[in-house]
Amino acid sequence: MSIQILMPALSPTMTEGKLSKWLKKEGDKVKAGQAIAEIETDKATMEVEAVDEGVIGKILVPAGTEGVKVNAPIAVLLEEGETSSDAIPAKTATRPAAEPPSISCVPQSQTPAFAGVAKIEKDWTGPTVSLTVREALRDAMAEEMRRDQDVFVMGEEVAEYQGAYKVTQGLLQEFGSKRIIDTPITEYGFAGIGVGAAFAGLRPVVEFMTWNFAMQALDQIVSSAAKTLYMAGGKLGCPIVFRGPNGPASRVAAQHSQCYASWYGHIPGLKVLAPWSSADAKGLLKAAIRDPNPVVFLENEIMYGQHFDVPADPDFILPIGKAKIERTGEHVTITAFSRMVVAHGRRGAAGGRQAGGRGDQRGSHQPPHHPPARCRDDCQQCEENQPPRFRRGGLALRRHGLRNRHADDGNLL
Amino acid sequence: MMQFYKDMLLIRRFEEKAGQLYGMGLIGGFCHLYIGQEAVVVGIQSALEPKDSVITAYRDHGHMLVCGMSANGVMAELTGRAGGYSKGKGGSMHMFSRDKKFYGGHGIVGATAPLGAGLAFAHKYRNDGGIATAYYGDGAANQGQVYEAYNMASLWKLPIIFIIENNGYSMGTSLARGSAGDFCKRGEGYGIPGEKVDGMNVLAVRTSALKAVDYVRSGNGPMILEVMTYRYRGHSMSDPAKYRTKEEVEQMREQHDPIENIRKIILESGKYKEDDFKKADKDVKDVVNASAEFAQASPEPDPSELWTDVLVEG
Repeated sequence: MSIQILMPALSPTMTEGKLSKWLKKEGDKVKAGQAIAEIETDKATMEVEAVDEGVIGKILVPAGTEGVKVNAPIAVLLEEGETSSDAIPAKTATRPAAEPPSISCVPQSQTPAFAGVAKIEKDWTGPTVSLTVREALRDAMAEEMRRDQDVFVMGEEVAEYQGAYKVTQGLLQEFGSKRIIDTPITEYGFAGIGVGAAFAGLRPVVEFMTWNFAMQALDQIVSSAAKTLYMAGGKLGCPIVFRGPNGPASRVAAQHSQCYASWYGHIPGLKVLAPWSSADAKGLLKAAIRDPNPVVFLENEIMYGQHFDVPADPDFILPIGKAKIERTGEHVTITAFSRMVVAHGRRGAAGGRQAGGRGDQRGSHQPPHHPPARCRDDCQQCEENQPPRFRRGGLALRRHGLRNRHADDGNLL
Repeated sequence: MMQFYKDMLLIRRFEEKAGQLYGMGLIGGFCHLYIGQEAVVVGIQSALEPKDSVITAYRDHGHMLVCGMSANGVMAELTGRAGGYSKGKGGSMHMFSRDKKFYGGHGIVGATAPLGAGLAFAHKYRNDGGIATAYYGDGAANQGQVYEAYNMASLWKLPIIFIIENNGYSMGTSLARGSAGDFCKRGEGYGIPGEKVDGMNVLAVRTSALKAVDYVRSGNGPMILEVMTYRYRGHSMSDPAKYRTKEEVEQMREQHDPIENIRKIILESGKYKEDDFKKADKDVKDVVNASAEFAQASPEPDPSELWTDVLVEG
């Protein structure tokens, strides 16, 4: 059967072009892939190649013709044994390409991807232990490593040095060098290795000494970790946690003071967490390690040494995607994440209830000595007047940025 | 050897059909054809076992087919249809199959070196005896992350073969204008041995691949294969390839074509006759034509798909 050679689209934007030159004439034999004509597109002059072998039976569009529409027949190719009388072009060249579907910007009858993720939070009312944020992070990793053999930790100085900020202290001793892995100073490379290992089904926890250095690895975090699931139609995900201190520490200049919450919060495919207290840090890091998605976990160096009470229940874990109400009030809602929760807490207390005066941000660990309602406004022991400390104050930043699922329930802080 | 012929021919005919569908406006976006380079992936993959992992960059259709992914699914993805491997959301450069241990299909030049090292890391971590192969081009081989991966792969003795598909041009920039020295020697400083291979000869590729697989699987750490090959088409569909002469392309086609090469060797061996080739050609053509029909019959993805697979839910 004779084959029509159609005017090809040689670039995504081409609708018509000039058939500038025939490189073969009627009767010539051609092989698949051989150039048969030259065409001028809107961008360049390119060659048309034969898609099959055969003999040029008839040239339908003479050289020099301008404005030849894409998909119009330009020649007829005969198969072995055919004659040019078989070379009658079909009257209409149909264009089988489907029209692009109309796209609505709003998902119709489709639940937004982030809805319904947060499960009802269990009320952790049992006994607590006092932990620094640093210890809470370490315990979260250790507990998850005991629970799942596929979890491992890699990063600069995480093993023998015991962590640049001592967050991974003791992990090498418990889990050995197979699972606690010192890397060279090579963020782009080890982030990529972590992502590859996660593609293969492992659950890496990749520590960046600080998030400032992760800019070297940004491409692997965004292009490989975050975007693959969508581009794979859901077939290949990346269960990985990238973690480390984020935001300004103290007197470290601009290169070491960047907060990346907004950057990563704008990347579809990433979950972004920024805990405040030890309980937040532990409960959310455990959840992050179990999560099947890439999670960016933003810690704060200044918070590492601060003590908070953490539920002692070995099953303690917190839901991702749900903000915590630190304090209810009547007039204004203040939202914050990471260290700013305590900063707002102090100012809020000082300004609103004249309860301040505590320069020391460390929480004491005694329960309130009497119900807050009966307390004096300047009582130093009452929880109402303390910086919020027993409560979880991390906000979950998800792919649509900062979300507060409890905003309807009352004011934050 | 007949299987090599069939595998390479399948890639060639598949890519020609893809070029044709692109010309008809049925494939949009990027489309990088593998025509001319067939012997590379066919030779390398013939030396691997099913437990081994594969990752490559964006000139990836051939790798998928040789890894056993269906021509229908790949062609439907090229045309952006719901029946494609990624439901039409990945396109030419992004298809994956956990079953076949094929991890993409990546559009970032150079990213496959560390990602592949990660796959190798997982093989070693699980001690499952598998190795990883990471393919990238001569252009990618100049990216910094490749050398970060070399360093750690060597340090940790990861079971990986880094495969540089050197087709002489990183997009439009020839080797002479873009790359200093030999890629196969660039692992030397890291203690990684390398070898230069004739990538237009599938048997030569297989021989080198078998050696490399043996070296890597035995726990010696990574190895580099620089496979010298040539693409007949432009970098992508919209590349008129003005940076090289027609004579150069013709000469490679006429004298070094990997498919013609193996065909001659098989015929000379006397084991197969012309009729056997005719049958193979027809079988391949049927598979390719069926894939094009499948792709065109498959529906466009529903617009609601824009909102799914962003995160794993639950």
